[in-house]
Amino acid sequence: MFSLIKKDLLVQRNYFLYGLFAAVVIAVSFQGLKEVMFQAMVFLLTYFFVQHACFSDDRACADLLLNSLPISRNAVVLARYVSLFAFFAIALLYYALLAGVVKILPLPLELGPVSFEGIAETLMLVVLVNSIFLPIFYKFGYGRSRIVNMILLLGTFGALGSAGEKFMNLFFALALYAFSYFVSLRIYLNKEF
Amino acid sequence: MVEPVLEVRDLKKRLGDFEIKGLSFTLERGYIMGFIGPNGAGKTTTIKLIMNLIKKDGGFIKIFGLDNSIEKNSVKIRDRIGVVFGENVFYEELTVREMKEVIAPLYSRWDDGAFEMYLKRFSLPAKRKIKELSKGMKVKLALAIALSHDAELLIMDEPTSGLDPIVRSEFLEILSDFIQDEGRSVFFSTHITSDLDKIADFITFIDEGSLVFSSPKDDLFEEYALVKGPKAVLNPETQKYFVGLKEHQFGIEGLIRNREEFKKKVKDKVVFERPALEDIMFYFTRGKKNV
Repeated sequence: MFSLIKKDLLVQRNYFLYGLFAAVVIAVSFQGLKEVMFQAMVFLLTYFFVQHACFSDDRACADLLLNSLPISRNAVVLARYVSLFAFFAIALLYYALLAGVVKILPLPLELGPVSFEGIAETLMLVVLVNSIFLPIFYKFGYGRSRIVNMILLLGTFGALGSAGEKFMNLFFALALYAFSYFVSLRIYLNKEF
Repeated sequence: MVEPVLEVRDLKKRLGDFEIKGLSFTLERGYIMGFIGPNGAGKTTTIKLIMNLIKKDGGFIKIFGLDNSIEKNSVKIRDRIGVVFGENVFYEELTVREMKEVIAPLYSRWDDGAFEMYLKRFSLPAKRKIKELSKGMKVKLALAIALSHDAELLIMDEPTSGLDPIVRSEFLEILSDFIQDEGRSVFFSTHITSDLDKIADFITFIDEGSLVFSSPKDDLFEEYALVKGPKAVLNPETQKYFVGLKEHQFGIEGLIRNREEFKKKVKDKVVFERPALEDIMFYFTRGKKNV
């Protein structure tokens, strides 16, 4: 399974560079909205990384490859669900890096401090959105899941900054994510390639 | 008794208008089986069923004696087989070496030394991105991966289509080397039958989802013959020997079965030739309309 997570990271080598650029754009666009800027940056970066991993699978006819390797369908789905946390960690790292650079260099940007609650709320959003997106991706493929994707993205923007009030908590989101994994697994086990 | 490497029995699958209609054939250890048929005959569907990429509606498939439809068996089976698809299935953004690094840890018997040897032999640049490789190089990469984990069975779906003749010959040479180890077998689907004339031991021929025959290649050349002769040879008694027939201004040309018996009937009125697999496939599919 770790091989597949490694693959999810390797396929977006170039995308990680774009991610750095996107982080700067988000930091500039959300100036003055400290907490929201953090959430927007980490959420969007994670979202784009997950999307690109799914897109890469789709473009490479990965299902043919993955299902001819000695690995179970369960491991294929689980790897994608675990990859999300790796992407989230990378997005956090980007924010920390950018905050570090802004501190050292005299740039006219401000990146606010990050609270544990802020991280938990963002993770909750990331997990909730992907709990819905991933089963749709496994059912319909990348191309056809993009519309749902857009709706999810717009909906999330409405929730930024007030996620803690609107949703139950991170544990609920993680439970939903686990349920989503079982739904995706069921879909993938019955899928024909 | 040694289990066959691949055993397909009464395999059925419906996909829209198309149907695999009760296919049965067996590949024993140590042989190359060519899997032939015209485009749309069901070769890729059958290979997908063998790989459990699609679910069968009926029958069974056993690989190394294991039922392939059980997920637990599937993982064990795939550890012992190498697969080469006709299309690229690798991640184009990755380099050859990165792709290897993703795949290698999944196999229990991966041999890095063998992989490096094949890279050298196939002149595959390890640092090049897969999207920058030619079609021939991508097939060679698939083959290098398939050969580097001590696979006992190679399953290939039209690997040579779209390759130039030199790369194709090289490819066939590699297969001949692979099969030198008697424990290894190859199941090779193609519509370029001249490849199989050279290397196959058995031929399984399907058309419109049904089995036409599955037989040792040399038996085919004993059984079938190409004949050329005058139209006068055709009569109700001789006609039943023809698998397929072409009539032209000067006479007839066709493929007959039961060569020796037919020979006795027509004596020396016709010329007999050894058919190529292509002739057999042609007369079985298109030629039957003319008999």
